[in-house]
Amino acid sequence: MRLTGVPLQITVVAVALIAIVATVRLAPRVAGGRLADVLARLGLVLGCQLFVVLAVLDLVNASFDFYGSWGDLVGVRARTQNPGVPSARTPAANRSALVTPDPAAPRYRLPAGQGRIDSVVIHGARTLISEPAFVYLPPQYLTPADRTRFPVIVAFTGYPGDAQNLITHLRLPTTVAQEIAAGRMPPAIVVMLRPTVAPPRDTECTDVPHGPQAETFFAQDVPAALASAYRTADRATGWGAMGDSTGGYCAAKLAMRHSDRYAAGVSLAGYYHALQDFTTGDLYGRSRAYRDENDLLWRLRHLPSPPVSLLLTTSRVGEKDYAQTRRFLALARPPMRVASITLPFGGHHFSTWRRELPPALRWLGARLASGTKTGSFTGRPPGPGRSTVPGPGGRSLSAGRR
Amino acid sequence: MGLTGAGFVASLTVVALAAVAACVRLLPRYSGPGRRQVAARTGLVAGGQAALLLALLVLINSGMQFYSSWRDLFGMSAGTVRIADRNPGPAPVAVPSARPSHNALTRRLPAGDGRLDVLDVHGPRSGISAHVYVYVPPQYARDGRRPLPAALLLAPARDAIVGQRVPELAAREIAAGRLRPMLLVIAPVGPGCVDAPGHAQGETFFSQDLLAAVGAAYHVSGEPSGWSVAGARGSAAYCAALLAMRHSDRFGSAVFTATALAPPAGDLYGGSRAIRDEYDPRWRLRHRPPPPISVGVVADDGFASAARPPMHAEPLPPAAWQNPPTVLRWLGAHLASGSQA
Repeated sequence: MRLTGVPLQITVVAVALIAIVATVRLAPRVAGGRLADVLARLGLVLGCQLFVVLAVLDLVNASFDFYGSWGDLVGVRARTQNPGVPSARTPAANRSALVTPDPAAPRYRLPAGQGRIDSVVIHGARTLISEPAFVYLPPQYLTPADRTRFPVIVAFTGYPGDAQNLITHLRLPTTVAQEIAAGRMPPAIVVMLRPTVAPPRDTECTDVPHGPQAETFFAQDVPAALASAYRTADRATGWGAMGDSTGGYCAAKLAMRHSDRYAAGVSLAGYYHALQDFTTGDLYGRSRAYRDENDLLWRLRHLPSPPVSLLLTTSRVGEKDYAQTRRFLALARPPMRVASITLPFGGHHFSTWRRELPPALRWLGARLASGTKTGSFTGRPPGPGRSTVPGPGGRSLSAGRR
Repeated sequence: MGLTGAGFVASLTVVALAAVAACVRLLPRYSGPGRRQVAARTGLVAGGQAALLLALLVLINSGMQFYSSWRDLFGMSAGTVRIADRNPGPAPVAVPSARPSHNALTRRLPAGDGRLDVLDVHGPRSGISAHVYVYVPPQYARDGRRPLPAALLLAPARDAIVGQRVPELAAREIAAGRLRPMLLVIAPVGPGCVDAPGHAQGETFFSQDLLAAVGAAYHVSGEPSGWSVAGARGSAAYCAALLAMRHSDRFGSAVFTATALAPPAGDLYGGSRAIRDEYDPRWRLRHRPPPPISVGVVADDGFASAARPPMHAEPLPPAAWQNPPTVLRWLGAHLASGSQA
């Protein structure tokens, strides 16, 4: 039974109802005043609560796609090798395609003329990490005669969460399509990913010493893989990173540490400190100094501000990162450029970020160098995109839906 | 009362505990089989559950800062979204790019052999500055269709230019058709090649700043297949190996000497054995996926045979460095001309 499937939802709700019925039926048997009876009644009520809570957690998870599968929840990966774990026997990465269609992923279909979404897996040649992703191609890209290279936005959802949250909850592709159609941002390729490369562990886009090389995957492997499959911009000025929450931290960190790859970044309610908790384990090789290097405020205080543009969003009420964001804005020095959105209120959830998204996309679009023509001799092989045209079974996305 | 306020959360918790207590105490009063009795029991249990669940959800919401207020929960608009931009304007500030110039060292190259420039690189990302020499072959054209490939030679400038006369040798090899036209960037290893937590960011300088500066000043390949790195001994050899192995997205090939691959000593790894391992080319060869690079190993001691595809390694003669054209020709053979930028 799938973790986010309807059968499981029906099952857990039914179990919770059965627990309530059982409690109602069994309560009279332990109606006495003895301590044992009182404890039995308490046990019935709390046991009941356990099933009710399980049911609610499952419904909430299905709605927000925190954990997309049992594998994500407990850390078993079905189709890919163990990512980034040191091993002398890792198989050679001699696969020919670095971006392959993902038949297991949901397919999404945009209204005619708004572009296309490919469901793919991106394979890292250097890290051997393989991650599911969705690639939005604007209608201009799909014009047969077009040989332009397009700016690329690499977008990250939070932790925990699946990349499709960016489609279903943030509505990123439909919003991008609207902004492009209205001429408020240049046509761009949007690649949607989750920051989690070794589920269920939260790796915070960090190269973990002796562990998963998440940063190398996003800074080196992903741009190289995308360039091998799509007509992507060939300079950092055409590449931007964005994300929400953990994805926002990742976007800001990638832009700051790899400004030669990502010239601009948008952090929707991202934080700035180098997180370490029970979901991450030790990410920094037990080194305080390396952890500092992953702390974005520490970087601004102790290292040159890199040549990159960043947009940071927060809320005066509802975001824990408000004070940190103010500090970041105050610490940034040229050549770094910073901009911010501060809402009067708005919590840490997608409806807040949906409000910030259109202006954020316009800001990012204005900072990405628009496409250059590809050379006629760089005959790139047809990308996997051509073989992944969503079939009629794809889920339709309507731009008008709110 | 605020959705996330301590008062609201506390009162809901009290209500929930009271509801559970009431449930446990009152259930015996309605133990009969009649419909009203069953309905009363159901109400008690369901009410207790609801109160407990509500308290739990509000507690989690306030802990996670999910919905910040009632207005937020019910999706009320927070007004127009405005961007505060301290530097409005379309493009990010262009980093002042280093301009090629000349000094006593660069004027030594005979006419017709191309030219030797000196580039004063100020790394905006690493904060490291260095004088870098660039040999530009006569075939170089600023507006050529294809950018030229480039090799980064890590060596003290005076040794390479005056001592070994590498630019002249490169010019001779290119003129004889034994070496493809390429830029030769000669840079000292000065800051080292480790991003030492809390100290010099040498890795960032060589993998990002230097390449960006050369790329801004010259029409040069931006693809890893168009960039090589070479280092003869000591920290230069270590650096060449490390840059290729950790930055195969920038350097597609490298030549180095096998005997110099131990990570440099000193407090460069944030006190972490694991971080030091990540900066050890031999450890990476054993424990990390092989990167897509080709390397030539001088004085090979088994390093080359331990490389697995897509990494290709071949031993080079032990005396290769005494005969720079051998190394140059190897580099040239492993460089591809870049695609048009």
